[in-house]
This record gives sequence, C-alpha cells and structure tokens, in this order.
Amino acid sequence: MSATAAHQPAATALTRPPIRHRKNVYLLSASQLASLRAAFEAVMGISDNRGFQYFAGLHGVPGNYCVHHPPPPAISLFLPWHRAYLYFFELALRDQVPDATLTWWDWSSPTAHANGLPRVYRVPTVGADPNPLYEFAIDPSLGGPSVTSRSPGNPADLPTRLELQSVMSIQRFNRFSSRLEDLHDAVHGWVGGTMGVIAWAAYDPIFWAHHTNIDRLWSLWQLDNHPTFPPSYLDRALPPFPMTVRQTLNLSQLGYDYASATSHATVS
Amino acid sequence: MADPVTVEGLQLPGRPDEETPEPIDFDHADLQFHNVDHSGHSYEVRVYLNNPDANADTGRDEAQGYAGSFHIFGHGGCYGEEGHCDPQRRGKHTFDYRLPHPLLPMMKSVEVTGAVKRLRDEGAEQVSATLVPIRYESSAELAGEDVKDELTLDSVSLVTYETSVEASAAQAPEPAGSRAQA
Repeated sequence: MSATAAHQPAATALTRPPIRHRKNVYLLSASQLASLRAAFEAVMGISDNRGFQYFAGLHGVPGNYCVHHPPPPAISLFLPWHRAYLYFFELALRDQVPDATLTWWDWSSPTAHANGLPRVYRVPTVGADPNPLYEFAIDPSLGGPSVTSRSPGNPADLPTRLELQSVMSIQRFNRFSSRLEDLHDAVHGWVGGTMGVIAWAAYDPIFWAHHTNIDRLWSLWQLDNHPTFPPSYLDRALPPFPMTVRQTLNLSQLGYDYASATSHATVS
Repeated sequence: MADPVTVEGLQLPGRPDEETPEPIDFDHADLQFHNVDHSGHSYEVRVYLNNPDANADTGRDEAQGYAGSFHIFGHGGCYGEEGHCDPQRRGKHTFDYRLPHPLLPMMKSVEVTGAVKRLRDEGAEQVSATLVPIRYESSAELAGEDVKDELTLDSVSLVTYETSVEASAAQAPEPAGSRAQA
C-alpha cells in the first residue's frame, strides 16, 4: 500500500458501493415499495434500450434470447442466463431510482398459498395513479397482445414448501436446475395470461419478482453445493449480456445479496 | 384439449436379491421425457403409471396410478418470419458460440421413486406411462391460430439411481479402538 493510500481519510472507505439487498415483496417498507414502483414507472416510460419494453423484449418476442430446458448432455444455462438478465435490468431500474432493487415473491410461502399474487402486484391503482406493477402496454408493432393479462389459478395449487425442499436437496447441478425450472414453469402457468407463454411473459411486472425468487433459491442452493464446471461452460457468454457464466456465480461480485427485509440509518 | 400420450413397455428394475447380505436396490427413480416440443401452448402434463385410460378428469392419487407432473412453458407460436422457429434451419458450424436454438426440443423428468418401488414390489415387470396434458387456457388464447393443441415427444426412459453413499453396518470400517485391540 502506498503512503498516500494508507493516509486516506476513513471516509474514503465509505464511498465503496455497498452490497444491495433484494428483499421479500411481503416485507417491503413503504419507502422501498415506493422506490420499486417509481423505478418500474420510470423504465416503462422509456422506449430506448434503457426501458422496460427493451428488457422485456429480450426474453421472448422480439429478442428470443432466453434459455430454458436444454437437451442433454448440455449443462443448463437457465439459471446463469436469467441471473445476468435480472442483473442488467436491475441496473436499468437503479439508473432511474438509485435505491431501487428487485424484490422476490416466494410463491411457496403460506401467504402466497392463502392469497395468490402479492397484493402490490394485484391492485390496478395506487391512490389515483395506475400501479406500474399491475400491467404493461406492449408495443403493438410486435403483433401480440396489447396489454399484459393474468388469470391466476387456485393459490393452493402453487408449488409447496415440500416440493421446494425436495428440489433444494438435489446435489447435482443439472438435475437441480431442471427441477427448479419445472417449478418455475408451473408458476408461469399458474399466473396464466401473458405469463404463461415465453413470448410475452417478461412483459408482466410479476415476471421479475418470480425470477428474482428463482435466483434467490439458486443462491441458497449455492451455499451448500459447489459443483465443478468445465471451462467451456464457465467461459460461455450469455448474450446479449456482456457476461459469462463464470461471472454470474458469485453474488458478491455482482454487488447484491438476498435479505428478508432491511433498514438503513446514517450516523447523524 | 390435447390427447393423452401413452408409452408402453418400460421395464421395471428387479427386486433386490434377498439372499445377499446387503441387497442392492435403487433409492431414486426418474421418468425422463425426451425431445418434448415446447414451441406452442403451455401445459401441465400429469403422469399416470399403468393407467392408459387416464384423462383430464382422472384423480391425482395413487389408486389411479398418478405419479407426478411436469410443466411445459411454451413459446406460444412463432412470431418470426418463415424458418425463424425451426432449429433445423440454423446452419451447423464448427466454431459456433451462439446459444442453443431456443426451440430445440427439451428433456423433462419426474421423480417416481415411490410409485416404481410399489409396482415392482407388487410383482409388475413392466409399466406404461400415460401423459395427460392440461392446457393453460388463459395463455392459449394468446397463441397464434396455427399452434396445434398437442403434446409431442419422442420417447420416455425410466432411470433408477443409487445415490446414497452411507456405509452399511456390514461395510463400515471397524472403530479405531477395535482395530487397536486386534
């Protein structure tokens, strides 16, 4: 360490970006929810490649980039690709509202099994304003539905904690990924409407809370499982994102972690 | 509603040889479904063993042979130009770093350990698998008119595993204390 660096004031250390926490949708504070809504509203108002239309369109129509169940013997890219997808979308949200983070919806929780979709995604309006987490108007030039729709099933039919525990106990990566993806598929079908088809799913704001939960479950699995991947897999690019599989494997390198809830206060 | 698909002749594993001190048996069984098409509608696919008459109204219980389900998150049809959604239309190149074509058919699986052991222990040597597709109707409304309501796949495998590595009493090394005494 140079003398200059050694004598930098202590405050310099505080300029380091803190790890941001993605929190449980059921436990967001009023201000955290307001930031989430403001960020979604902002990106939904942008029509270029910083906007919601652009990011949603990468998954199905028109980008068609998403990767799902691969034929064997390929190692699945489902989890790394969607982690990169969330990462870059979250940056786009934070470009508009710096303290916004993605939130996760645990569809296996007792609350979900009692109420179905989280209320903050179900209500069409917030006060007198449209709720940006409720729906999105899709670019009509794409030839699909003009607005997102949902037709959720019986909340009791969502994947259960028991099913999830069974998946989380699987130690082999490809098997774990495939089974987790199947639960993910079931939730897409359960929400129904645009969420039920790959072409339009990502246009529904609930898509992002669902996939953030999938990413959280993978991160929990990673705490106990450390598979060895071949370099050809680790160095695989995840288009259209400037990121490889290797770069998705460590959350701390991506600057985020998962929490149930958080609060923050500064020293006065 | 798409028709059920039945596959016959899946061989069940044999019963453990009870004359050996530590009979070998599987502790995990999967049904694997190969080359499942996912270009069209989304489905829950319910799997029934030895019940070729199963349909969408059949109960999901052991008595009916219900073994579990898997899900197809379908693409909802093709929104590209002619050839866009056909994996065979993509060229084959030695150096090709593109992601796999999104429409390549997929492999899905369902764990059927309990059901297979029960059938095997009841004396069955073969089993049939009947796949009953239940379409997600609210999403089907969004698909193009040319999307067929059918479940398409190539084949089904029954694969059993021995995943436990716990040493049995007969195989466990002697405690260090015992060895020292010897």
